[in-house]
Amino acid sequence: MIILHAGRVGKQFFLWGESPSENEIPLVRRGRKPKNPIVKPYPYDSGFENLSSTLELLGINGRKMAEKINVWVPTVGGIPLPSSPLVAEIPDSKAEPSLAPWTVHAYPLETEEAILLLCTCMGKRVLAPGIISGNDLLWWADALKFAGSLVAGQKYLPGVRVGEEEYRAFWEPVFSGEDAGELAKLAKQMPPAARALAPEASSMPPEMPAALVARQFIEDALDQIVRSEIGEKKLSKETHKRKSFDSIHDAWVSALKSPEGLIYGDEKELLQLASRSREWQRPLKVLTTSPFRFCFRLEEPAVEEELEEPEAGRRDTKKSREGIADIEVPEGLWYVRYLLQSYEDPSLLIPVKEAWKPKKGSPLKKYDVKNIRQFLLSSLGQASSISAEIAFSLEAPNPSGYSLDTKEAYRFLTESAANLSQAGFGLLLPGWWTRKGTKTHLKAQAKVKGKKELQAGSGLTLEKIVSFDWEIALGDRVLTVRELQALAKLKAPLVKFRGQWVEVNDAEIRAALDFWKKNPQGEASLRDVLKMAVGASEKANGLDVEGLNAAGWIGELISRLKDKSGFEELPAPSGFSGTLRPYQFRGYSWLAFLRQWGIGACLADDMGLGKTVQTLALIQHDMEQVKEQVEKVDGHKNQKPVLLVCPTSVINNWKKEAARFTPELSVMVHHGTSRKKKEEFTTEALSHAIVISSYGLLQRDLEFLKGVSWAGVVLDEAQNIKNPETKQAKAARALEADYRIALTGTPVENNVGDLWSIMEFLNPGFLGSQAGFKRNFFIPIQAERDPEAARRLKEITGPFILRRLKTDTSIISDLPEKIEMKTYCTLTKEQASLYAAVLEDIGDAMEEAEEGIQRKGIILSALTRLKQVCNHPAQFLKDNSAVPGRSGKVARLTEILDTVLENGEKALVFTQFAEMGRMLKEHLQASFGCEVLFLHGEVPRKQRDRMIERFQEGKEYLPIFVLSLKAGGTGLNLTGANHVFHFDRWWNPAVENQATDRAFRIGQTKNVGVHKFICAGTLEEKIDEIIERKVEVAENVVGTGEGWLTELSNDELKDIFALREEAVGE
Amino acid sequence: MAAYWNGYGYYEPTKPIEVKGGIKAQSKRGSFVKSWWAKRWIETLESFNLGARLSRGKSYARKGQVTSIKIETGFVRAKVQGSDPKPYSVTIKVRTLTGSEWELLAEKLALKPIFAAKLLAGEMPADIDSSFREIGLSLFPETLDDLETDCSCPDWSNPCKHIAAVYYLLGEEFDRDPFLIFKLRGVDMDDFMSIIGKGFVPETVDRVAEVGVLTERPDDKTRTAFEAEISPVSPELLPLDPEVFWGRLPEYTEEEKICSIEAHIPPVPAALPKRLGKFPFWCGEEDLLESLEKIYKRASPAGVMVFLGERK
Repeated sequence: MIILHAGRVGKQFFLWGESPSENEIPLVRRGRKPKNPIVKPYPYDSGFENLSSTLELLGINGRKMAEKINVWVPTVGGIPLPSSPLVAEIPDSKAEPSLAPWTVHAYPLETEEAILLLCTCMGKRVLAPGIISGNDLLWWADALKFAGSLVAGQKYLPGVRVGEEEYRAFWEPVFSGEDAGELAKLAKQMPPAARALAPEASSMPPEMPAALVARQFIEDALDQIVRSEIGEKKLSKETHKRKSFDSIHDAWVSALKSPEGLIYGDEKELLQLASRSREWQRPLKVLTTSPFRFCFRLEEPAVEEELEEPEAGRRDTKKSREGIADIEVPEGLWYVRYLLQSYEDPSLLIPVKEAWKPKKGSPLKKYDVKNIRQFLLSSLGQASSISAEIAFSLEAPNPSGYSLDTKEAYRFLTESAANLSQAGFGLLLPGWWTRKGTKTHLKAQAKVKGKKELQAGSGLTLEKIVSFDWEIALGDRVLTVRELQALAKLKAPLVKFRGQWVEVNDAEIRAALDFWKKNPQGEASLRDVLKMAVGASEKANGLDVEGLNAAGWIGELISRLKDKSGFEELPAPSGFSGTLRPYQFRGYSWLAFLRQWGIGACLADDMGLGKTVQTLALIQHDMEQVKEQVEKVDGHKNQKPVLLVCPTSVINNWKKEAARFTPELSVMVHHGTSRKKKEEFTTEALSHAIVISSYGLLQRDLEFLKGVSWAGVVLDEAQNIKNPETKQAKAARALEADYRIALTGTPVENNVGDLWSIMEFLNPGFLGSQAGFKRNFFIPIQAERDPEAARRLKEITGPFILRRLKTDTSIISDLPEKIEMKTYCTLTKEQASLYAAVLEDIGDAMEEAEEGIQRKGIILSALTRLKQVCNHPAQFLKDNSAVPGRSGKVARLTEILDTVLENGEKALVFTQFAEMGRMLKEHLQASFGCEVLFLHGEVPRKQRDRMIERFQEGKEYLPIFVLSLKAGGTGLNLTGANHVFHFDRWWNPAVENQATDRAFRIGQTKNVGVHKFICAGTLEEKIDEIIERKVEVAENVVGTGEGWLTELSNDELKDIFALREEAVGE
Repeated sequence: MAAYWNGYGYYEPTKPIEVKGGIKAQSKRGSFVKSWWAKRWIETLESFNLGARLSRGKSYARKGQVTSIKIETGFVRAKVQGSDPKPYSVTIKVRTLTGSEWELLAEKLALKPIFAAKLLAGEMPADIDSSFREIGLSLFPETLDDLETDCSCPDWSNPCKHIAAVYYLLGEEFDRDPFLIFKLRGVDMDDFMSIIGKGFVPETVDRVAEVGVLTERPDDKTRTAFEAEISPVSPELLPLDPEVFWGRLPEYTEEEKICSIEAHIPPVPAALPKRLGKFPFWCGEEDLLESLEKIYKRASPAGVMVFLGERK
């Protein structure tokens, strides 16, 4: 485990790390300062090897040498206080800490290496299991993000940096108004640990201000990003030497492109270059250092006084004047007002009129009048060369704005505004103009008519070709040709449509008329019509083609898709055993509705809402449908099977659930080394209803998996294919199927980057090409934070994703407050062989054992050992060996907790073994990078209370609480959690329920999910079955613990303990 | 071109010593300058009937014979490489306007903000000269009375070709920075702002009296506008509270988090350098703006990638 930290010493970026110390930390007696102030090694220093292997793992070439530098850390009683409890227990001392230097091994990184490293860290607490970003490292990544945005926005200039002995050409960020604010914000957020490094020789703690540290790093990073992009690598150092340049300016330009940026030249010339470059930049400084932004606000003409006339009469006169109902061209003047907008508080707008001579009490009084005037005048001077009207307004003293007519206003909106904004001015334009997608405008839309009513099972697919008429509409108002011509005659680029200003420019009207003449009708597949309906718009002849005016069955189909309602609610399939809750009926019917049209569906319900059940119901339903049809046609034929792909850890779970809910459907598990291949596989698969396999095999066995024509392909935990480049994602897309379903419990619609791959699997082509998606959605949403693109993406993908939250009681009113789930896990090969060895061992012992105490002892110890093996090999071996990758249960727990954390929820994990609890704490801490609380029998009361307080309070990021059943099973109030995991079983429902009730009790506001972990094919499953069978009738018998097991015969025990084939998951 | 006998008794060779990296005029042929105000400046020179010296001066300016130019209030010093190994020293002095002349002018300028606005934005207002004329002044030196030139070369003619070369280059600088003429007339940016600024209070009746004090130099501290240059940094001590030190308990709220940053590639590249215009006395081979534009265009996508954490 390593927590990564970073800082700078001078211009050098260093990476260092903290790891739990293996040695006891020597206590220094309080009050006695060591006479010899030798700086001691930081006790939690990760050390050189740990750092370099971490760097290698993160894809950065771990260099040969680490340096020793000092980090100044708050220290109490001679012990430094580490960054996180993951490193060491933080002493709960009342003593005031002091700053002390500690030496650490630190890796010097080149700027480029630092950029690469920070890119991989952005927003990621856990970089890899056990590699965790410290808060300071995350902050550096934020700072880099800022540098990236400055480069993207071209907010930098070439400059000259005068060093002690050399002159360097560098790209210098320009922090104008808003960016200056961002820089200040960034500096404020910096964890001071980011500026706590100092050279070994320094005897004083570093005290460079955060703002400067932030600025210097951004300067260096920005310079590097720009330089690396334009770098002319082929030029050798020699060519940069002075002789090859005619002038210092050529040398400068060349140095701006060179890797190290050194300018070679005469000292005097260099000095002059530096001063000229400052002089060159000076005009900008006036504008960029102002606390205000100069703004232009376009104000609409005042609305005419409402006349005391009846509404209808008014309309009539309007109509007769303009010729078109709903549309008018008001007279009256617009106004462009000059304003100053405060960067600090953007809601503060001061009319420039007041700024020429600020009155008492004006916020401008804080600033020098001369400076304000200079700012106003330079701004207006710049603006005057952009707009002649602005120039004209400056002919009179103290200008404050100017009036303009509608045509001029339109020109301001379409021309001046963009130019002013590009020049750095603020523009406050009316909302009806700036709203991009929702703006009312002239467009072409298809008018489709489906003649019949929509009928289920009509055999229609998305490939059906439908014909439609084109029509031209303004917003939702369809226009006739005559109206359009009348509109053209008005020659008013801005008109009022139903009381709201809209743009109808000449070019658009002409394009519309033109479009119409050329394309009165059209034809397209239902799939394309659907694309139009969900808003994937295109342009034709300069006219937006978007939206759909659909009536009849097509309209109905579309509204059902968009609203996810109105489709047929199906009864449970006849072969389905078990009951569906009302919302599960809806979910399953929705799946069936989409399946009927061959549309891929993503069911993204919250964990615990029963995605599995709904999917199985769909599969069963579909099998019955198809069977009916097939029987109609030729009486008998093999049905196509369904392929279900899931993570290895849930294969058994699916198998169990299928056996329980769809017992008629035969299940084949395609897994393990003895799995069937090629033709053998195909034959076998065709004789089953469901084939379950894993993502790993999906890619490995694709060759023959894709040879089967599947009825459906279901991907469980579909986020596994979120990266479209991976082999498994490509493999998933290569499969042929009548329907496709993706299941996921994570908020898939929010992960823009992941959406394309899943959608491409479900409905190929809907989101366009991957590159197009990146251009149209990913970058606008992620980099430009364009709400319009986000809205559009939601609209396009919405019809195919169903996500219901447990918390949404309006949709799920019928959810029980406690949902119990059995989570079937698999054993790893190592676990299985250990299990077999224990079995062999106890088999002999039991044969030899005599009745009574001895036999009882043997059985109980066997029980414990087998349970330990099921938990984790290291728990059984007690050898402190590595945790990851060796236990099916731990893998599954980690996966589910991942979703829990992703959804911002909290969990309790119960185990009856303290040593397992300790292992889980360590493992989960390394996996999630956050502190995991662990309560066991040896925790003193006071500390226990503090833990509970911290967990319940929610101030800190403490989503997981591991408890030993004995210490935490009763009495505590832990309603902060809404997930309870029983990692191993006590075989006593009463005890387990009591533990569950720590979360499920008064004060709990959410539904509680209870996850009982069971290793399938082992004693855990057998005992669970026995208890299930007996629980109603004889709770007392089995309810008291494990003693009853010792009463069983050897044969019975052998049956219970036996290891069945399905147990192994590899 | 003929050689001249000069008072010291030797000939001036026709070819000056070649200079590398001198200030090269950015105009390669034809009219030297673009703006009307710079043209006015050049016209003054050309009215002196220098004959061949004029075209020699022009080609000196284009070849880069001028190795340095230093502009101070009221005068210009320059070095020009001629035939002598040691460059000649050129000075051009312009008559500065008196305090009372500026007073009168301030009154005129204050009434039309466009003058100050244009000047501050790097442009000479078209009819500013008329404001000067109204009070019997001229912004540009028009006669030899307004201009005093000197060169260390042996040529008897004044202006000589060296002076002409400097004069041409100054013309180019005028193109870029119209304020230069004010500087030569004795008023720098800050003085000018004081003059203009005070004029901006039409209610004040005794405006002229207020403007009167021009001879006093403005305090140096009030130099730049809002410039909060990171002044001598005051140290910021590391906190002792471990929670704060390690950033465990952030002192900022969620909204303050760095989510407002965007990475937008602007539709028009290199807006910043374009706003700044030409680099003073550019001697580079390539056009600065052109090469910058290429660089900005290439770097922007890389910035987006870094922003998204996708740098490879």
